[in-house]
Amino acid sequence: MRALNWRRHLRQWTRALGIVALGYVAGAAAIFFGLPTADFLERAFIGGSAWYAQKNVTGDAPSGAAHFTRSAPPVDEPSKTCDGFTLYSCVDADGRGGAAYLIDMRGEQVHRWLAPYAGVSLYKSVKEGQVAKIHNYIRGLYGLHLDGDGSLLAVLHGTTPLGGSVLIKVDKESRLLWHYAGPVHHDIDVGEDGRIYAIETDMLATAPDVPIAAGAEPFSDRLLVLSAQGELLLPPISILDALVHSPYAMLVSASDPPHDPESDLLHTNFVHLLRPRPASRFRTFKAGQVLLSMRRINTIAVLDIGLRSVVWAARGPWRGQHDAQFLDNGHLLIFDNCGPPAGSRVIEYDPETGAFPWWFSGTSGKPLATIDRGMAQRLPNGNTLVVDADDGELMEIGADRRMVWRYSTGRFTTTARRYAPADLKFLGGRDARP
Amino acid sequence: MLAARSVSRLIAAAAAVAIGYITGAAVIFFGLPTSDFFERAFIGARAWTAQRGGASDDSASEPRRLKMGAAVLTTDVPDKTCDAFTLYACTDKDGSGSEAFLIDMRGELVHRWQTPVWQTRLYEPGATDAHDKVHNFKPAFYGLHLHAEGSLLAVSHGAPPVGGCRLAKLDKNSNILWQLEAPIHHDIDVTDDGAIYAIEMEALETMPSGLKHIPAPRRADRLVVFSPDGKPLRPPLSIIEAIRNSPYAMLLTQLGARPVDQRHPAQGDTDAAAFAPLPPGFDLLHTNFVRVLRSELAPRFPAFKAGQVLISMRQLNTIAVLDLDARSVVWAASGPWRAQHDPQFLDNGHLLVFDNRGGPTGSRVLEYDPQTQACPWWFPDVDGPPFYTADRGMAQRLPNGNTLVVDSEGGEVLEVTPNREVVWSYATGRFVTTARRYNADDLRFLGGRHARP
Repeated sequence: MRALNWRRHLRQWTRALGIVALGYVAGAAAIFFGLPTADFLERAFIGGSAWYAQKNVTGDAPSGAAHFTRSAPPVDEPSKTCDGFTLYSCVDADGRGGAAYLIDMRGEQVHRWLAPYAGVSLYKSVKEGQVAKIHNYIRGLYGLHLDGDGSLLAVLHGTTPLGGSVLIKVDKESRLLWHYAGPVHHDIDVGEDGRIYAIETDMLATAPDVPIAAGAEPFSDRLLVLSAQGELLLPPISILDALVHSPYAMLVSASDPPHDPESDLLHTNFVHLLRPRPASRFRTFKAGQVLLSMRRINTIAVLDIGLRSVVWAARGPWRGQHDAQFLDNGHLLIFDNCGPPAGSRVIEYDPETGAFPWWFSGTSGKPLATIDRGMAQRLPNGNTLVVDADDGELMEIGADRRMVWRYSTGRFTTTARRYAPADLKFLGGRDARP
Repeated sequence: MLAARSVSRLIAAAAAVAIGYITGAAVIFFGLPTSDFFERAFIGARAWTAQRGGASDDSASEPRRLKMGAAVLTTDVPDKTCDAFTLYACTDKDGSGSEAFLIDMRGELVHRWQTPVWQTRLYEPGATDAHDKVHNFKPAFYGLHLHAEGSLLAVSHGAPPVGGCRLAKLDKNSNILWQLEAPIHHDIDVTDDGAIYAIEMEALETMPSGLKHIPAPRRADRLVVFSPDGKPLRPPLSIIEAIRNSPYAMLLTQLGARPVDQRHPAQGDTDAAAFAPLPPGFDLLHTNFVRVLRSELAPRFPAFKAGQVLISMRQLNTIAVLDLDARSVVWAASGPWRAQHDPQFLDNGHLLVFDNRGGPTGSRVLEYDPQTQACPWWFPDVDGPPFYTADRGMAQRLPNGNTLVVDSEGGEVLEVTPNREVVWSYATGRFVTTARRYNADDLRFLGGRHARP
């Protein structure tokens, strides 16, 4: 009798366990395959983790003088700086960093945005013309663009191995305005008409008819032109096709090994629009064309959106470069990450003559060296803001290559740009150097 | 007792032999008095042995079927070739080869030049302007220039590790007319007035001002110009200073403690060298080719002037145009090529560059537009068979639009059409240091002989 009871109990328990196991498998499958209810569950989980994260971290940038004394010693020569507000973002060792900070010249935090988790998925190209949602909760902010009203365009990257990326727009209070449901990555630029220029991953159905170095995957990039509301305005432009069908087709392959094994064909990492004002200084380029940086092939290129073709390209002494941009003097500014034999440098390049009127390769005590990312921005007074991503340092460098300002973020800095106070109306005329 | 004495005698004899042996070796090694005599004797003996073995031939001027190595004509499409004579030189496995050959389109030997090893003086740059003579028994022809009357300007390199180099002029019968006591290396160009543009190695004990970030001592190059009889026409121009004086000075920030990365992963080049510290005396620029812009071509190059000189610097992955009067670089480019050779001006306003290590699968020849930076033509095609030569390599655009391609390590000289079809190929079976086509009209000494008999 006792044995019978024991057996019945066992059967009941087994049945219960079996049911639990079935549910468990189904739930896992729903999330994994993105089946119905996955979105709901995801939101719940993200909400929970965001709540937990917010409960435990303030999300504030380390502020002011306290921060200045923490890592690299502060540098600030008020008579020589080009005062403005600096927008930056960084990620921790896990690649997590959902906040963007705006600081003044004294390093005080002026505003902060927190990228929303809820309702923001990441995307990945899985097949030609087909994207998948990626459930990657470890994200960092990369390309940023700040509008005068305090709204922020932001490119979010998920960390490897899951990856994924997305473009979002949030208002001044970090509320999500819209997101573009595609794997937009790295960087964006915004024209005076509000049009957004973005880079999206583009899986290729067939390998292109060009020699590809060993290790390259048939992934490429396409250029998107979006309205200020995030709607696609033109059919996406395949950057690979634009290059292959130009007199620069030969540049589509390089002998250098990929910087990381999962590198794609081009690894386009920056896009900069040629605005009407500097356009007059470039004999061969026209306003509305965009300058692209393709890290994988050590190439920068100018793409004409109307012609959907590359009209100029160059490979130079730079390697694995970032943030190529047009300057008002008819030159280009390039962040050269791995130019031989070692170390990084910011170089000004004359596309007509191939000359290098200016460069900065670090101070005598500390050579510039960042393998990933890195940015540079020429400021109105001729100084240059240099972002050492790996060491988390934002430096303002004079034309004489002397450092006049430095702010240390203490973390891998994905992006930093200086904004003139007049361009940030939402600050209500606040002084950049109070 | 007796045994002990004979042992000590034997030891003494052996010691004496050892002393003599060491002294003799030292004399040769350090080039002490009597070394020249011994050198000649040894070289003579080696040549005698070689001749007994039947490896060498008898006549320098008599045409005959080429038998040395495995030289053989492998492709010939007569109606598509640009017929002319091909001057070439190559080296054996040991790096020696002081012979230059002129062949016709059928691969028949038309003429041959050779300098006996014992007549070849090689030089290394000395600490002062006095150059050091080196005793290298393995010289080989590199840069060549053939004059209409059959005289030949020849740059010779000694095989490593001894090294050394020189420039000499030989007459049609290989008699040395003059040779310069200077470390002239790689390549020469000769203008219509006979002026010789050459590259001379210089030893830098200290770096010039503005370049103190580069550790010394190092070696660099200077451009030198000689009259047809080998007399200096201009003061030498330090190439490293010409770059420093120009808006291209940024390129010298590359010249730190390590060599510029020129690996070719697809070809299995190791990266060990790329990360090893530079040895003292390292060759900073490795200038390997020089071309003068002729006045008839100058209008095609709006950015350049006649008389300016295009050079290739392998260490910098850079080609540059020098103005000898301004003593400055006026243009430079580090394009898609790596460790390149033989850039030259084309009559369509483009440049032709032999790109050793920049291609995804191997070496290639690129046509490059210096104004737009576009590459309108390249060889081989994307789906064509790749070739790879880490060192040397040359290219020459021919009058009918074909291109002569020299695959040095493959030992082959190719003629390819604009459509990249190989219409002529000649396999030497050895390392080809140089090859150039010469029009029959430009070689009066052949007496109107046809390039395709």
